[in-house]
Amino acid sequence: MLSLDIIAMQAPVIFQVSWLLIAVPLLVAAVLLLVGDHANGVAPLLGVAGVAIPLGLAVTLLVTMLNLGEQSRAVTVSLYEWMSFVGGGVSFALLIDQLSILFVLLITGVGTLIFIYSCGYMADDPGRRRFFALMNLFIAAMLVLVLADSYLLLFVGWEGVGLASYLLIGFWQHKVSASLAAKKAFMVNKVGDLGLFAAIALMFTQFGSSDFHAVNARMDSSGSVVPVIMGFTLLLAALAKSAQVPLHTWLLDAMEGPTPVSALIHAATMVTAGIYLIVRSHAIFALAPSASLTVTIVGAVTIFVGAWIGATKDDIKKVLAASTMSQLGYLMVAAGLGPVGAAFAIFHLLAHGVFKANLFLGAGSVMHATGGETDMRVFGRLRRVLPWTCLAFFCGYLAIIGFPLTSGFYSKDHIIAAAFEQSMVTGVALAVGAALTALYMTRLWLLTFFGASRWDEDVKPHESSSIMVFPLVILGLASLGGGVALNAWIQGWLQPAIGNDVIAAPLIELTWQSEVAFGAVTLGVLTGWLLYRRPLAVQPSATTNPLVRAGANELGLNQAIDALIVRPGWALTSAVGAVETHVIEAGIDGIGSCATRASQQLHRMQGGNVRSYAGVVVIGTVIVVAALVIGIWL
Amino acid sequence: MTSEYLILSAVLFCIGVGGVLIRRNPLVIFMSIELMLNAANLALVTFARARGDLGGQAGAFFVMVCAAAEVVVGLAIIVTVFRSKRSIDIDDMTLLSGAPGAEGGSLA
Amino acid sequence: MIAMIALDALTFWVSAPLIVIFALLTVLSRKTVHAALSLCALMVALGVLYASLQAPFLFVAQIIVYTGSVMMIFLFTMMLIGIDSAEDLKETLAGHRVVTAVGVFGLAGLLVFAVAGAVNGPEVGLEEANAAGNAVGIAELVFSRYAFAFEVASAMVVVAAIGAMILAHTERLSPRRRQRELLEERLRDWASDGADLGPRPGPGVYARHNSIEYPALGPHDAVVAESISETLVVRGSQSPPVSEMVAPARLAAAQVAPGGGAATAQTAQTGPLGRPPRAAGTASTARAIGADRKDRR
Repeated sequence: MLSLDIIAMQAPVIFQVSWLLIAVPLLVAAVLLLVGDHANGVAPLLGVAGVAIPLGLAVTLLVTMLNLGEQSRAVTVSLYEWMSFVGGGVSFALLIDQLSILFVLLITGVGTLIFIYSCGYMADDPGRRRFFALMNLFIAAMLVLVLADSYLLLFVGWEGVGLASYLLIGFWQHKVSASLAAKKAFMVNKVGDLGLFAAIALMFTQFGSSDFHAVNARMDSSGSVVPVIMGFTLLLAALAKSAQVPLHTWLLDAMEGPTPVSALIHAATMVTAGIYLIVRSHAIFALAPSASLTVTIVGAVTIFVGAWIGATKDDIKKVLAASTMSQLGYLMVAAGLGPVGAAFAIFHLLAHGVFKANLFLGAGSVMHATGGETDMRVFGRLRRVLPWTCLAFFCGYLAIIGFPLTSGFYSKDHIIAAAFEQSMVTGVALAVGAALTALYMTRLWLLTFFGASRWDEDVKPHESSSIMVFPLVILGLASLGGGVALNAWIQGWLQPAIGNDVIAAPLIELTWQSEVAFGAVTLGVLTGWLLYRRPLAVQPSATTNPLVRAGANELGLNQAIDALIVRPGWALTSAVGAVETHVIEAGIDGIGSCATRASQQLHRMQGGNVRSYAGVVVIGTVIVVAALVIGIWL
Repeated sequence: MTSEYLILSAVLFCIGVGGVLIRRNPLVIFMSIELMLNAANLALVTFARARGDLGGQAGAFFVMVCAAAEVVVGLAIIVTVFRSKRSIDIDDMTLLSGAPGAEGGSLA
Repeated sequence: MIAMIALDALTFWVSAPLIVIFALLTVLSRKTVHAALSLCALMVALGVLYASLQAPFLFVAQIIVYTGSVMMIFLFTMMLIGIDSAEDLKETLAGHRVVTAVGVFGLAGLLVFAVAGAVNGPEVGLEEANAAGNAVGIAELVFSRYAFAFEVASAMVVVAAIGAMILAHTERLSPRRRQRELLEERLRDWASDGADLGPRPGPGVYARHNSIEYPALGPHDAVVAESISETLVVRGSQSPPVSEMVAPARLAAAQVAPGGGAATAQTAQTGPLGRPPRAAGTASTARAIGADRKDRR
């Protein structure tokens, strides 16, 4: 700790004020929540400032780090002694390194654009002050999560984003479905929190600390069992936060929240916290191959499940949510591959954060235009009325399917290539996932913007205001060009932080893996085009295709969880309740009535008559004197 | 002679105890208590002579002081109770039992 | 020496039975005043024993403190709450007699057993200690070794005196009515319904006896109930029946004015303040004097 402090003192002064990254949005949230309706007018302005100021700071930090030597880029900024106990302590310290600064930039950069977009999107909402306050709370918590230098502090942010997510999913509390979705998200995330908590507890018992440095340093001497347990508990945490099978069910329901929330929290940032956790814990997973393998398998399954669900849903936001699941699966696979994939996981994470935010905001713009409609079957031909949205959406579309030279192309192809190197099965699964991605995105694209218009006469679609279009355009451009910018640079940048392999990554490289991937994408696009190029009926009939029905039903996983966990839980609860009523309560009542009866008997002695009391005193005296006399006499 | 004095003292003390137990008039109960105090005084004075130590007599003197103070306060209490209850039967003074209707009359 | 011991024993054997008898009388007499007087006698007899136990100071203190002041307070209290109150010694608590018997006799047996052999060896005697005088010896102890206890005891006595005053104190709940208010009220009563302006008669006035237990008699032999002291009423003193008092009073009135009859009696009644009898108010005046005079109190 001491040496790290010295490093912090030698580091440029900009690091010393890095706590402002967290403090500013937190302060904005507090002000907006506490001041009340007086702040309604300045809420959007303050909200944007709460995330734009940290963005400026983060950019400054990045520039500073670029100017530093590779060895002095990672800085631990110790703020204060959080808690101390016998044999150690936990300091409240921020770890600013190559990994966390990228996350900070993603969160604040995409966050700023989404906040600006929200100024238009939420302009007419009476609760927009609360909205911006909670969004700032989320930003602060998310920054705590990625800047923490220990698992314990990370856990604080982890819970904070969970809380903010809960509050924002249920932002429109008057909708029962929103309240239920918020509750579901919170409950499912609690399962994952339990895993993280167990891992932290294990760290404290094993290493006496939860600092990343300390844990990584002492991992090698921890035997063979501890890393496996830690790996699986951390995986459980990541599963819930990053919506991986089987803890993914909350993410589709979470689309009940406002669309900017879906874009920021449930696509770009919070759901990637699980990936961050796994990449950050690379030292643990390196020693636990079984856990890494499980990560890969779970990721691959999730890619497939997400894509399947995405291909069958009619709700535009749910398609995008399923797509998020699927893309997070790619990240999981990459993170599970270990050193060969870790950097690409982060790369694809950043790319996905940008293009998925773009897609969600585009979907939000469509909904805004059509009066909140989310059913793609009643869209169609919107390219005519929403030209800018359509254009920006097209950029995101190209990026997500992995069209060459876009950001998704670079990041995803690297993952697919790494997977093929790992094992053929994984590679094929990822390629199939890529094909399915292209299929459902093409379906979404065609159904929404092309074909005949299927909306009602009283719906008058209109292009969104410029404050909403501007972020869309920026994000669209970033979706197209971000890959080229990051491709060659990111591996070397991240290497000191996460220990990944650095492999050559030229801009154009024709290997058989990339050809397979491109072939799969082409196949998906073509299939989609063939299926959905025809004008859709205005009132489409219900499908009878069992695959589609299964996907629309989310593969029955909700029902399975209901039957396997929720119902037995209810039964257990009522059984415990019965025990409480008939055994414990009856026992306690019995004790009470016994005491009552005994005291009723004793009450007779307390007649209130002074002479009986005196009699008792005299008899007692006689007994005492008798004892004394007998004692002396004997 | 010492033993005889002490036995007399014990007998007096026990008579006092009996008075406290059987009488219902607090005045007489107080007299019985005085009787017990005097019995103790007799024992103290007897021991003083037996041991050749005036400490016993000094103790008896202090007992007298205490008895005087006690009588003053106790009788004032009796007068107060009589003023509010119009009765001094000790069996009527059962407020401490807390049972409803235990009090013979209202103290108000 | 032999004479001393013999005198000592004689004193003891005369006093001890007396003391026991007085003690039993104290505890067992039905009338409180008898109990108090027995206790007085017991205190004196105990004082005699103190004197024979070489404690002249305590002998004097016993007589002065106990017989003189403590027993006086007892009698004074008795006077406040009824000197002739007698107590029914019948036991009212179930099983209390048994408790008493076991307690008293058990304790007596144990104490006698314990103290009978408590002092072994020869008596030392107080001749040496009393060499400078008994009171001087005690004073030396009290003001040196027991000085602190003495101060505490004196503080306790002061506190007890203050406590007794506080206990005896009663709060005044209504404004005090002085002579002026009382007189104004009386005149108002006279003006409104002709109440008597004169002072109330004391007990025994025109009654057969001048004992305080006998109520006064108003005109036409009406009994003035409130002329009896309230304490006597509360205590339940038995006044003689009214008829017993009234008939001789009437007789007396007839003897005073053989020919005048009622008119003479009226004149006598209206006399005290020289107030002229009201023409129509004669009967009402008599009624008012005889009636309950609550309104005046």
